[in-house]
Amino acid sequence: MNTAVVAGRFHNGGTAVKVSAGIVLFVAAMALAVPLLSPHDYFSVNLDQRFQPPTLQGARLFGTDDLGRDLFVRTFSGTRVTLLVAIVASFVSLVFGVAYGAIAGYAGGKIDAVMMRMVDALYALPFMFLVILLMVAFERNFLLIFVAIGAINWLDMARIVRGQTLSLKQREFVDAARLIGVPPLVVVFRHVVPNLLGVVAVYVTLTIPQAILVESFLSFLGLGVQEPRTSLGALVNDGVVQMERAPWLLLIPATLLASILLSFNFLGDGLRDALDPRRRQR
Amino acid sequence: MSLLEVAGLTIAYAGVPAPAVENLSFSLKRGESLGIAGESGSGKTQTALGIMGLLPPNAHARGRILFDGTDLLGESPKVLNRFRARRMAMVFQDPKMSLNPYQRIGDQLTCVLQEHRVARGKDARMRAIELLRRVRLPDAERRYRAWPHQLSGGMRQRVMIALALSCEPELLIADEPTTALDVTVQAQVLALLQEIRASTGIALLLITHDLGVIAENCERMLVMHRGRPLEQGATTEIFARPTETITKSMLAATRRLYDAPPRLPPGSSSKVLSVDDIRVTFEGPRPAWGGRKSYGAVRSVSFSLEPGETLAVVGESGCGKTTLARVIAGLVRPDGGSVHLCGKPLAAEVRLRRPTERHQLQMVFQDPLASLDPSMKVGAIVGEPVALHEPGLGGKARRDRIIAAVSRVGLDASLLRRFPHELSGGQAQRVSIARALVPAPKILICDEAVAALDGTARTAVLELLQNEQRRSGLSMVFITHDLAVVRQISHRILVMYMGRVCELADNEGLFGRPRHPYTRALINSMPVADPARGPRPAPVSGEVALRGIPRGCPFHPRCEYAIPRCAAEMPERRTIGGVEVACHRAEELDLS
Repeated sequence: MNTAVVAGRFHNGGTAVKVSAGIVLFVAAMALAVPLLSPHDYFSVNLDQRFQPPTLQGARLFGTDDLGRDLFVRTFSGTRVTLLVAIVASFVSLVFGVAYGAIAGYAGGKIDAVMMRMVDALYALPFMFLVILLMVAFERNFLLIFVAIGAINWLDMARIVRGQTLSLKQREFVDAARLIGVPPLVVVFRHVVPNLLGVVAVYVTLTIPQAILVESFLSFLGLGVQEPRTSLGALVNDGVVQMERAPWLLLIPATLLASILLSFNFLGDGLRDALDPRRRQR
Repeated sequence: MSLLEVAGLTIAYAGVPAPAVENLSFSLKRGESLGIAGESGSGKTQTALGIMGLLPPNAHARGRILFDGTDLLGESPKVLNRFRARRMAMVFQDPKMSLNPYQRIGDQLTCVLQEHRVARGKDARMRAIELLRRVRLPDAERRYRAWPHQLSGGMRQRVMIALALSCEPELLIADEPTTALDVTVQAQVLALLQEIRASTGIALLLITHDLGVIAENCERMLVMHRGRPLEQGATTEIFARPTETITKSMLAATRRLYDAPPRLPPGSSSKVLSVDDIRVTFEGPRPAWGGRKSYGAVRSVSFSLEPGETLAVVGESGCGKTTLARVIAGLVRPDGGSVHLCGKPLAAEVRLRRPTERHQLQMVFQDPLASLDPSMKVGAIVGEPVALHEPGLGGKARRDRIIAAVSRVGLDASLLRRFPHELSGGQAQRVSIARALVPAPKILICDEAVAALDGTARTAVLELLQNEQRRSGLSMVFITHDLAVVRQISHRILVMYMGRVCELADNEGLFGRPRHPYTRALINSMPVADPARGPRPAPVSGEVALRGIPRGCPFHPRCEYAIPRCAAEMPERRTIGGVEVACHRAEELDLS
């Protein structure tokens, strides 16, 4: 199916999908632009401007935090990190999980058993422990967050895709492809994977919020993003501490985080409909 | 006064320009039977749902549906509930879908009885068992406590009929009640409906695509096409003198059964395919303890095929015919036996066969939609074998091949840009055939290739296959349960029952003088599209056993000619007068 068709159908989706796409695009654009254009930066401490409420004066749109840093810049610089983590983690889980699950499911038999037992074994590892080990063994590295979150998510994806593949490979069009002599790997990626994309799209949009939450949890433990860098999850955690004194420190990043999560959920529904060729155009 | 009077009924769906039913009028007297015939999409089921008040909320119905003087259209659900079950009831096509899988049969029956205050408590239980007996469910008391999955398809449909009859309605609407059932079971269920009609005087509205079923069961009939009524009248009258061309072509398609069977052009007697002693065993799920149960799906089947010949493999569901087809195609690995192509042995798995061998053997599947990749356009689907069969073709030459392939099966090149779901069933099956014909096969295996198609599309696809056979000397293995199709296209016929071959004979011989009692039972079960003919002989009793293959001849528990030897000893396959038959009494019985 070509991109124009998908884009066209996507465009025909409901209002919720359009609004969500708008929100995600707007937030992503802000995340790129704000840290570049603002007169403030995300790390300068300014102790005589602590806890300033949101105001239009001096471009302090979201006020300042307990160290007098500009929350507007910090929020969108944090959004950058959050979106990056979410996108990279789901990309890892998408590419690796789909390929792994589809191959295991299609091969079946012993290959499937060995591949899936490996997944079970990885599931059994305590991941927080693994992440801490990684952090100790290597230096605190931003990349490790991606590695850790991707490593969790591809396991789920592989299981879901394998299950779908098991039922898809029973379908007659797969038999037909085998009969005309299409090689097994080509059958997997030409006939099985495209028919999985609806389910995968929905699962990816579930992965994104999950990745964002894991990232914020790691940051909270001090294992994720390090100060003065920040992420939406870290900002929310900071905001909780100052909730009574400066509620905007919690409310603003939390609202943004929630609207991003919600938008991704609606986008997933829209994407699933757009990817399903059986769905008539409205 | 009529019991049911439908006047000017129009059912339209929001957003769909053509109405599903348009200006339909008919009436049904008490105790009368009316058959509604038509292909899928002709609005017959919509009509039934409209009468029962079961249309979805986005449907809009106009006109009048008078039931005993009350207009049901526009009545509230509360009022409709007083009519449903108590005065009119419906039996649906698929008994698997219409029974609640989480409720015992008996509970589903007593639930209806209590809801409509027919009986309660112990009384309801008695009534339910009584109803199950009335629909001839064997062992009714025990089956009262059975779950739906423990019953066979025919038994489930009997339970559905019992449910429909529970409140003694005056009208029974049956929507394709036997389409999901095997032929012998279909004959039993239709016989039951006739018996119930005779004993209760219930009026019957029978909806079906099978004119044979209408000819045998309905006094009057109505033909629908694209939502419009074409003609209605006495069944004998319409069969004798149809006025509309569509009715005529529907009747002609049904009557092909009486045409002379095709003859094999004389020529070489070389074997293009020979199948020897194929055995396939399926293993059941591994139980918590004890050994796994295994089931012989195909047990020692052998046959051979000449160039240009069509061999039909016939039998009821579960007889192993599809497994046999998949073994030949290399999709299922047999536990024993061999397949030879032009004298050379074939590898058991399609992956291990040489490309030239693979090209010789292609397959067309039952469900045209399931056999086309839903995410690919027709052009890509047909282009795939082109690229594999002739690699290195340029873009233009490839496109020409694809267009030639689809026009060979009578499709327009404009369809290449469509997705499978945008095609009709007949078009989709043509695409499937085009794909199978691209590698220029010698043998085409058709697994129920026309079972999912309507009458006219079915005839057209069968003609296409026959033309292709005449043109290129294609041999076909045609798997089907439909004897009318068998009669029309096959040269020789292989009858299977529970994995075993019962009979292998040529077309004329099999229909003229069946040698195996099971063959005769199959032929007798076919509805005959001739209302002037007298009643058929009583259908064979029983159904294919759900689990466990009987000892001896697998058919003996249902066979009216069985002798003690049949239960003890599996009959050998032997040749009598050019017919291969596996029956102990084949020599002495005259079944013609």
